[in-house]
Amino acid sequence: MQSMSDMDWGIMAPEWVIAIACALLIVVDLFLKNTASRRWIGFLSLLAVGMAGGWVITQFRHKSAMILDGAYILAPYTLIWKIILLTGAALVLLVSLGQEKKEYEPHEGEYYYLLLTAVLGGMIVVSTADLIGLYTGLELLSLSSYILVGIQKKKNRSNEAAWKYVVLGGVSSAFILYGMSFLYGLTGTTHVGEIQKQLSQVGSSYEAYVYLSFFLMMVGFGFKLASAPFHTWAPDVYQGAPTPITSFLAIVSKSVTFALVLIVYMAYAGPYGEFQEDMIILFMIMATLSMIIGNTVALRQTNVKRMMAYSSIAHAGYVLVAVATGNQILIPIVFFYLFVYLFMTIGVFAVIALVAEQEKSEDLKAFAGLYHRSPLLALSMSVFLLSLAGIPVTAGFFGKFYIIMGALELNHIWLIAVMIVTTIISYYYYFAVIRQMYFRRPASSDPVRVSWPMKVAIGISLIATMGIGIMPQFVLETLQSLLR
Amino acid sequence: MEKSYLSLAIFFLLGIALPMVALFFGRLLRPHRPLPEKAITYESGVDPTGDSWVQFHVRYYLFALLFVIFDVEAVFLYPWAVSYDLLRTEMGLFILVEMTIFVLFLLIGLIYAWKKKVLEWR
Amino acid sequence: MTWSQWLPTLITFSPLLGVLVIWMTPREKATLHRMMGIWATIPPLVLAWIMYSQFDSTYVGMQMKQAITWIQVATFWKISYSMGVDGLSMPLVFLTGLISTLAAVASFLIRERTKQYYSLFLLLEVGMLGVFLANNLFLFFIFFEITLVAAFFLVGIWGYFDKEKAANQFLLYNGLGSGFMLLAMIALFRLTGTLDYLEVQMWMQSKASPVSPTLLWIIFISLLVAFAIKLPIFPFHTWMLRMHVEAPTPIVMIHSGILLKMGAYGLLRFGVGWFGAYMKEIAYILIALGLINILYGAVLAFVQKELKRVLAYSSISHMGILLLGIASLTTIGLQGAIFQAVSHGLISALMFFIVGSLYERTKTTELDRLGGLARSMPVLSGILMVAGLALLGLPGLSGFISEFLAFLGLFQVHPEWAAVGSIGLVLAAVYTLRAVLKTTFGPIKDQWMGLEDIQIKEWLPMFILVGFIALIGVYPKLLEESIQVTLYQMVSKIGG
Repeated sequence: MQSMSDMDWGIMAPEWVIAIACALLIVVDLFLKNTASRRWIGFLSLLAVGMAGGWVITQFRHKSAMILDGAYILAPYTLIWKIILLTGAALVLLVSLGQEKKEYEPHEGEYYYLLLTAVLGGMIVVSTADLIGLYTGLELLSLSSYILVGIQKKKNRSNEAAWKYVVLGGVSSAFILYGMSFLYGLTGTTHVGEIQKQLSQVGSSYEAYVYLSFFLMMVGFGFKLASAPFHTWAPDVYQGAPTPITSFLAIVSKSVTFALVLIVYMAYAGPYGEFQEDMIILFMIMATLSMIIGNTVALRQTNVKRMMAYSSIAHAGYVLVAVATGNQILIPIVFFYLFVYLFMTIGVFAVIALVAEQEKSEDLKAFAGLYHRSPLLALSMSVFLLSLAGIPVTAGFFGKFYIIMGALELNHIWLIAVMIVTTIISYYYYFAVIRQMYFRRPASSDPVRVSWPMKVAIGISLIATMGIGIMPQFVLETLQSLLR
Repeated sequence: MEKSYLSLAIFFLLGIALPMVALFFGRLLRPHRPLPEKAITYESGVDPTGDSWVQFHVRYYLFALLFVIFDVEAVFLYPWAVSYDLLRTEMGLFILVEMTIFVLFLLIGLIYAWKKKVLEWR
Repeated sequence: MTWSQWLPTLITFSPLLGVLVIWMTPREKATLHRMMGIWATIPPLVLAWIMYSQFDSTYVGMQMKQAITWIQVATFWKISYSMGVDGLSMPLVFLTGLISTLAAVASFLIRERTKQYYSLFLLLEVGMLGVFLANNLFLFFIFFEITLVAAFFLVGIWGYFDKEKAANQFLLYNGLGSGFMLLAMIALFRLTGTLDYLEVQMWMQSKASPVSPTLLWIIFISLLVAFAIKLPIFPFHTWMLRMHVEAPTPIVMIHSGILLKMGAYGLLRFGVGWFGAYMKEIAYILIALGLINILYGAVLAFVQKELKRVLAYSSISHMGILLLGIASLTTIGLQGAIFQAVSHGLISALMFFIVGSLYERTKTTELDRLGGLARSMPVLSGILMVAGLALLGLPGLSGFISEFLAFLGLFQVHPEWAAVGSIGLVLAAVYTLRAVLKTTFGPIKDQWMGLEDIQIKEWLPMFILVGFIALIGVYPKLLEESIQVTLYQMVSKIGG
């Protein structure tokens, strides 16, 4: 065994950067006068995220390595996950900084460093292949997000959302833990690679337990992913949380859970019985239900954030289609989709945050005549929505296109049919926002004020959404070559 | 393997049987004379007043949480301290550094609680 | 590598230049936008003319082809950015250029949010030109979606009373159609590894790898449904009625003149070009649908009380004739179909322009409230009469030659059905004359006495359209020459 102090701790540098920044910012925040502005803590957090991201990029040249007996892995795929998480976090921070009036004003410092701890949790999850590491990382992420959801203490909706999120999140964590305990019980190890080896030997004689553990974990993951039929918390929580946090939940939490699903998937990847096929069927059911429920219920929503919650349920379904195929070829496609989803979702939520702030309403009608007030903002919003709806030449179209291509490779014709039909249904509600923006008269004619961090966030999202739409191949090939 | 499950089963059965047997025999043996006083909640001889659903001050919970944190810290530190010499020969200074980091983070937690006036009873 | 390779790309994206210029102008300058909007549609028209003069009508297959690899999924799955033109697309490209320019002129009727209007209008033109010039299904699909989004906005913002409903219905029906197209496209891509028109065609003939016929049928039917919605064929036509009634005049000119023809183009390009053998097997169904379209459209056109609805139903009827031409699967029939696409494009654009001008003055298009307009507006009424005669197929005008060819094609293979279909021609004469005469002749109502006749900005585009209608009617060779070779090759592949 390698000695602890000989290990190459340097490969954990991105995590260290975030952890140290977080610790420092907490102390600084505590010794700051209550009346002092805490805006610059946000900028420092952004700097930390940027530094961690820069470090991750340099690590692509590093050869794959692992420390702590495989509890921490440095491999191309972990780095790509981290890029997704850190990009998401950076954009969320920008959107938060761009909000002029924050309802969580007295807790602004906490807000920023809790975002950092949440990201740290996510980074731990994606870079480990050990059940304990996975669970601790997930809990760090979840606990931080519970607080972030409820950070507007004076708002009833926010409290309700936080309460629901804590209870259901806690239950789902318990499910995951329970499922993991069976894996440990059967194999006597917490390392996913080891579990896979052991299970392929003993799995067939304890089939019931294998099924049970997988099923329990999938229930837990279903909750965290907000995929149907475990999605019921999502609309309330998405509506109640501060808008940047909503986008954080939709992007970072969701991506982390997908990472978790893919890692846990590995544990069961050994060859035995018909388990593989049953596993895929379970994923397919979840994907189908998510697509159908997400896209149909979204039609009836009048609150934009609720609508986006259902939309995110549907998008979880689309990604699950790729996951359901259970094929390694699709990993780059999952990454591609999550990247694309990240930018378009941040963009939409940034605009929602702006409009909601100005209009004091998150209703669909708040968007009425946005074109007349701020044409550029309306144009960006349209691009994001068209991308979410999957209309070419936007990034979202290629995300869906690649998923369909991949699913076709494995002959999941029905899944594809469901995906296409529900996508067309989704046109209706995405275009409902567009209708409001262009076809209706605005209540007031003064333009929406856009602060510069918002401009940066929306600009980056817009360029990425359009750019990936025009050069999808470049991005996918980069991902493929990195993963090779 | 089977043997350990057997003992577990016996443990469960005993756990269920014991109160059942005790209550059953108690019912057989005791005299049956109901009085209204007997139905009152027992509070060490004091007459009960008000509802039993009392709201405790939220500070109790904060103190309890703080207590738990440092309780766990103690549990963690104790075995570490005991086996420190042994571990040091194997891993060197590393374990000291590791524990320092752990304590440092807890310290930040303490400072947080202190600055947020959790330690004051107001 | 010659300069003409760049022509398709240049034509397609040349309207974007106009969008850029318009964006740089201030928002209030409506007149400026109008001028620029019209000027911006000139380059594609001129380039289309250059393309026509460069077009080699003896060449088999795509000309002026340009291909750059765009997306590569696995080593052999490749999608290129490839554009080109052949006999099938050449007339439609020119038609698009022409009608876009005239519709831009007709856009003087649009008075508010002109900056946005002309930007979207030009985007729509990019989409339409791209659809006809794309050289693989993927690009076709992308340009198709662009037209969808642009038209959605154009109808939803500048339409008449029930515009939002019309825009929604348009979006959902056509979205469904493009969903089917996407399904077919992806399945086909998976099978063949290419979406290039020629390569798929060759693959369909050789079938290098064994493929289940059911899957191919599914692909074929999906494509068929996608374009049936667009054309529209009978059970899918409701969206199109609303669109015709609610869309603003220039957009309805484009919609009925070009967008519907994209359905016909799709049927020819993919239905006949790729799945000719399959098309042949269900030719009976297509003929039946075509007859339903003709008769249903004609009968309902006869009973409508409103001019726009008469024209909408007459469009359905005329698309039925087009479908019959395609379903005959003979060179003459297909030629008739293309002729019909071009000719009906010109005639309906003219018709809707006239109706738009009429509506501007009378604020109504109800037949009962109109009447005797020949007295106050002689020029407009005269053009309306000519358009009506073209619509009902008077010899010497383009309507006649196209319908004649379509029926002649069908007559070669199924004379009995051709006979049934020709009843539609009689009905066409009846409903067209009824509508035209009710507006122009009879006693004039007092309220219409003082109406001004149309001005130069209206009658000049109308005369240009009439000119082209007459030109094709008198000298069909103009159109025939460029499409002959392509059609021969298409039909010979089917073996008909």
